[in-house]
Amino acid sequence: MYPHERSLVKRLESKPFALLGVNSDTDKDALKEVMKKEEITWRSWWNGPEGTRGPLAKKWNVHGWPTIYVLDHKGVIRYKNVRGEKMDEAVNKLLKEQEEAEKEKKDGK
Amino acid sequence: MRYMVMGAALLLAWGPALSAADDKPDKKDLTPAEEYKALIAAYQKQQEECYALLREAKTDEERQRIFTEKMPKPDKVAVRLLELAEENSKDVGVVPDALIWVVTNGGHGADAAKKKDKALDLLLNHAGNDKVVSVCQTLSYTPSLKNEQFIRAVVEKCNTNEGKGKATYSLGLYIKRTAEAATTIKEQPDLAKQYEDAYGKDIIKKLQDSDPAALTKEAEKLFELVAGEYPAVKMYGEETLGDLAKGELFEMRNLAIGKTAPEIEADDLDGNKFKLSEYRGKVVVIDFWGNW
Repeated sequence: MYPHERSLVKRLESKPFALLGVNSDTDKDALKEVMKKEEITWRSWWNGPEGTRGPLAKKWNVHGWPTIYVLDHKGVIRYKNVRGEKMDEAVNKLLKEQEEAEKEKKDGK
Repeated sequence: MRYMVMGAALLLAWGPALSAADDKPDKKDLTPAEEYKALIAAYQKQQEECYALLREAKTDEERQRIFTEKMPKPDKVAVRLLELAEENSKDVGVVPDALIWVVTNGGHGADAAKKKDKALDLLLNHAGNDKVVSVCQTLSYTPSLKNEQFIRAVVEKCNTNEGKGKATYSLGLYIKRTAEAATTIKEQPDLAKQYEDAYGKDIIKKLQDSDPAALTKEAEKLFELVAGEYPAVKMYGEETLGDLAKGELFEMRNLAIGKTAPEIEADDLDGNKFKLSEYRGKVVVIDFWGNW
């Protein structure tokens, strides 16, 4: 996962895109070492000291890891559990929608 | 992964079958229960020996070789257990255990699937036995006509509150996953062939003919029933069926494709609070992850 996510974040640096994590590790110090080594620069919420049983994973009914949600620029859930190429395709499609919406907004003015 | 995917296990090599059954004592002297125990013990011993070798192995090639050569294959054990179950169909002590073993450990591939279906047919006679409830959960991961038939039989025949609750929850999960698989096949018809190879033509035809929205409704009804009737029953250790069913209902109602994502407001890894809604206007990938 990490290499793909790293390249996705890098490729879309200048786009209206964000990768956000919900992390369920319990040992934050060990995790930070890994994040440094793996160059994980994107922001994550912490699921708390209960790890996988923490409140965020519980609310989102997550029983398997990783679980992926892809949201469009309006905050609507559009894809679930897409990985690799499928994730790239999904994000590219939604970025295009965002661009078109921006353009319409400008033309309307 | 908790949704229906063709398991990576399908790709595991089927090496020469080294069976635990080969070195068992003369079965004529054993009662069915003793023979069952001996078969399972020999199988587990071989498995443990293989794991010990795997831990010692230095390279991936070595691990692959050990796995192929030393990991016991469940097929011969499954064949004998099925015979045992047929020869002693009235025995309520060992037969359910033997059949449950075949269903849960029977391996992968078309031949194993046939044995699993046969075991399920025989196990239907024991659908009222609380022992078989745990099988429902395993069966809920794989789309199959037999699996659905079996889970429904347990829901109907189980006599205990705990068993009925768990079986109903498993049926809800089965139907929910079926709805997801049916949606996938409708949206990506090119996947149908792949699904057929993995699960068989019958069930895929049924999924293609089904209405995912109606299936989703049915799953919701089952989870409502579980949350209403069996809320205090414990599952997976400390979780209750009430919480689990409510979690499923929340996901189906608020986290489905097309819904606006609920707010997330919590601390980041440095203890600074931030919100999902701060990212409105951007395309967002949310990744529930952990470094394991």
